[in-house]
Amino acid sequence: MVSNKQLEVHLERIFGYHSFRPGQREIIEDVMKGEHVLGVLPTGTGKSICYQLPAMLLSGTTVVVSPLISLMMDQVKQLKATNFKKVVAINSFLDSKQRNEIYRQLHEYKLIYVSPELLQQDAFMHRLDKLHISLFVIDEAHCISQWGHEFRPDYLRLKDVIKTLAYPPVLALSATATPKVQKDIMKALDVGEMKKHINPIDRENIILTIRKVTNKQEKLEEIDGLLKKYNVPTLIYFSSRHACENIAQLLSGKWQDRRIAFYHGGMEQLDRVIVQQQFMNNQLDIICCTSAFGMGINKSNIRLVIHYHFPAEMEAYIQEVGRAGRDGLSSLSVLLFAANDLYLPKQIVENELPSSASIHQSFEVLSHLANKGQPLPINQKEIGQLFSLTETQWNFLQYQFEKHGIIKERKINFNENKWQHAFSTIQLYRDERLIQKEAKLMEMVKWIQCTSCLREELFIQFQDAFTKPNNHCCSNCGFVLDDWTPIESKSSLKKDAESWQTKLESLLLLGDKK
Amino acid sequence: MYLEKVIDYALSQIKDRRSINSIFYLLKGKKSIQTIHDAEIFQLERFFGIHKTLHIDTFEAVIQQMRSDGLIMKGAIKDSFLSVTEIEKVPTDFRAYFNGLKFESIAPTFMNRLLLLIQTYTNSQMKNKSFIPIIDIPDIIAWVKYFYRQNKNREADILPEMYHELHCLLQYVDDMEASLFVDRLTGYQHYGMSTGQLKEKYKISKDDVILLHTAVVHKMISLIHQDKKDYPLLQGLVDYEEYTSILTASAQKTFRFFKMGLTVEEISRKRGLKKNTIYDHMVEIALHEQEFPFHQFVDEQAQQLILQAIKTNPSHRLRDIRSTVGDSISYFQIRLMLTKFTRLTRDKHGKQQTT
Ligand SMILES: [Zn+2]
Repeated sequence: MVSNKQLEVHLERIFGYHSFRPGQREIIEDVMKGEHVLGVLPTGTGKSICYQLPAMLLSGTTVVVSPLISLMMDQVKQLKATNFKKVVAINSFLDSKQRNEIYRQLHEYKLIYVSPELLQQDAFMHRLDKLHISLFVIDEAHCISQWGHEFRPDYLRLKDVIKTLAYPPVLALSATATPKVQKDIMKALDVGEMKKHINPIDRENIILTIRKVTNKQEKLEEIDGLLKKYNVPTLIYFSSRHACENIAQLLSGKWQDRRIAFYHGGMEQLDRVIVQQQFMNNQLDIICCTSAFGMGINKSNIRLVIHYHFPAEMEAYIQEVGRAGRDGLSSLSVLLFAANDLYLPKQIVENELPSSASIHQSFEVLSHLANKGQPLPINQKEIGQLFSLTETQWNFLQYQFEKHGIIKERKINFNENKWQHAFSTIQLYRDERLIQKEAKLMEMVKWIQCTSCLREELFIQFQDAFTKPNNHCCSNCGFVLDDWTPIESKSSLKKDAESWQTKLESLLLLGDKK
Repeated sequence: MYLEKVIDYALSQIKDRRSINSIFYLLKGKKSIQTIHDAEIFQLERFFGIHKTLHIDTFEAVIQQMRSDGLIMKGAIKDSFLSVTEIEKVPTDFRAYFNGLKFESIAPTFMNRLLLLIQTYTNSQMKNKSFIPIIDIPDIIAWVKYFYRQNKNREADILPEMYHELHCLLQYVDDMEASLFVDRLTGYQHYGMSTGQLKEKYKISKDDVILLHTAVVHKMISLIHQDKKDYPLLQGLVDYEEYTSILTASAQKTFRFFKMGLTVEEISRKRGLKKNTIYDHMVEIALHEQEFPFHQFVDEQAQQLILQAIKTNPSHRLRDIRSTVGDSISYFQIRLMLTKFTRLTRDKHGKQQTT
C-alpha cells in the first residue's frame, strides 16, 4: 500500500509535478484502495492524472475507455514523451497486422486505451479477460447518459463489459456532469456503491462576457478591438470549418505582427499535429478553430477565448472556455452573439443525427450487402462512404442496428418483418433525440439572453454553489473591458527573410559549427 | 495556378478523346484499369496520383474558372474540354518533376521518413528525449527507430550529411520551390508550416501547395534514383519494394495464379470472381509485365489485324476498333493489343519516364 506522502513523491518522480491539483488526491486515494469511484473535475485540472498515476503504481493493467480516438492518441503521445512507455492505444484504425502485434504483447502494457466499440469484439475481450485488470476507467463518463451532451449509445454496453471482467475497480470521470447525469452514470454502470468526488466545475479566474452585435461586420470589429487591446495567446471558436478558414485568412492579412493559424477536423493529420504543436511551442499567437481543437491541449497560458459562433450546448461552452487560464491567472471569455446566429447551431444539431432519408438509405445499403452475402467494411472511412454518413451518425445507427439484431459485429442478419419494425422504432427514437438536443440548444440561447449573473446561471444546473470572483465576474455584473489588464506574452515574431539555405542550416543545427 | 497548369497540359495530351473526369481520376491516382491505361496511352504517367486528396468540387471550380478565363473550351465529346494554349511536348517547369505512376506511393513514405528523421536527430542532438512526433504512422515510427539503432555509432554525422544531400538536391529546383520545401520541415523546438500557412505565405491555393510540394519530392527521388552513390543517406529512405507494385492487390493475386499456369477460367473459379474481372486483371498485368505472353490470348494474325485497326482509329475507343475488326475478335483481345500498342509507341519514343 502506498501512503499518502508517498503519492506525492511518485507524482514528482513520474510526472514532474510538485503537488496535486484540487480534487486529484481524494480520487486517487480511493482508487488506490480499490473502491469504485465517480469523479467530476473541471476541464483543465488534470483529470487524466487520476488514473495515470494509479496505473503506474498498481500491480496489474489499467484499461481506459475513451470516446475520441484523437484524444486517445494525444494522451499516448504525451505519456510516451514523458517516458511512460508501457502505454498503448487500440482502436479500429489499426490494421490487423499492427493489432495482432499489440495483442501478442498485451500483458506488457501498464495502461491500455481502448475505444468503446473494441470492447464489443470477442477476440479482444478474450485477450483482456486473461489480464489482471486493476483499474477500469471510463473517461468522459457523461457519454453514458442521454442527458449528457455527447451521448454515446455504445457506452451503455460498458455495464456488460465490466461484468465480463468480473467487476474490477471502476473509475468514472467527467468534467461536465449535472446531478441528473451523475445519477445516470451510476445507474448505467451498475457496480454497486460508488464513492463520489464531485468538484465544483466553475473557474473563478475566467471572466465571462457576452457581446451582442447585429452582423458579421460588427463581430469582426469586436475581434479587432480585442486583438488591438490584448496581445495574448488566443483561441477563436467557430462552428463551421469554412468560416474558421476564412476569418483566419482575413485576420492574418490585417494583423501582420501576430502569428495566426486555423485548425479543424477536415485537415490532414500532419497539418493538425503541426498547428497544435506550434501553439504549444509558442510559435503561434492566435488559433481560429472548431470544437475539434483543444481536446489534447494542455497549454497553461491561454488568456483569451472568443466564440465567433456560440456552441450548441452549455457543456460544450464550459469545456471550451475552460481551456483558458489553466495557470490560474485571470483570463477572458468573449461570446459574440448576433440574432441570425440561431440558424447555424440548429443545422449542426440536426446533422449530428441521421435524417429519415439516410436511415431509409442505410437499410437499403444493408439489405444490398446482405443479398450479396457481404459483411460490413472494417474501417470507419469505408463505412462512412458506403452509407454516406458522418462518424457520429454511423455511431448512432450502429448501436440501433445492433440493438435490433440487424447486425452483429460485421455480420448482417436479414429479416424483412423485423426490419420493418426496427425501421419505424429507430425513426421515432431519432426524433426523440433531436427534440432533446434542441432543448439543450434553447437552454444555451436562454442563457445568452439572460440579464442576471452569467456565472450563476451557467453553473446553477451543475452544482449547488459557485465561487463569486472578488473583482471581475461577468458582463452582467458590471465588468467592462477597460478593467482587464492581463499579463501580456511577448511575441517573438521573426521576419521571415532568410534564404532557404540559411533556414535549412539552422534547422539541421549546423549554424554554430561554422 | 499550378493545378491549372497540370490540367492544361493533360488536356493538350488527351486531345479531346476523354471526358474531363478522366483527369480528375488521374490526379487522384484511381487504381482502375481505365485510369492507368489512359495514363499510358496519353503519356500522362507523370501525373498519376500526384494529388490524392483533391476534392471534386475544387476540381470542378477550377475547370469552370479556366473556362471563363478562356484558357480551355468545350470539346466535341460529352464533358470534354480542349486546351487553347499551345503547349510544348515535354514540360520544362515544375510539371517535369512529377513521376506519378512510379512514385505515387513511395513519395509519401519517403517524405514522412524524412520529416520524422529530422525531428528525431535534431532533438537527440539537443539532448531532448521528450518531443511529440509529428508523424504518428506506426510503420514510419518503427522504421525511424530501426534507422536510429542501425546508425548509433555515427549519430553525429547524420545531420551534416543530411544537410549536404538536401542542399545538393534542392539546387535542382527553383528557390521558391526549395523554400516551400524547407518551410515544411520540423526540427528541434521548431514546428514546420502547415498547408494552410504555406498557402498564406506563398499566396497560392491549398491545392497548389500540395502539388508543388509533391513535385519537389518527386524530383528529389528521381535525382536520388539516378545517382544513388551521391546520396548515400537519403537513398536509404526510398522504399524500392513499394516501387514496382503498381498492380492492384487483386490483380497481383491473379498474377500469382497465372504464373502458376492456371487459365482465366480456372483462376475465376478458384477466386470466386467473374471471368470479366480476371480479364481486367490480365490487361492490367499486360500493361506492366515486360514478358507478358500476348500470343497465349491473341494469335499472330489477329494481333496484326487489331494493331492495324488501332492505327486507323486514333481515338482508341474500343467500340470503334471492334467495328473495324469484326465480331470474331473479343473486347478483351482488343484491350490486350491496346496495351501492347501503347508499349510499342512508348518504347519507340524513347521512354520519357525513365527519370
Ligand atoms: Zn456575474
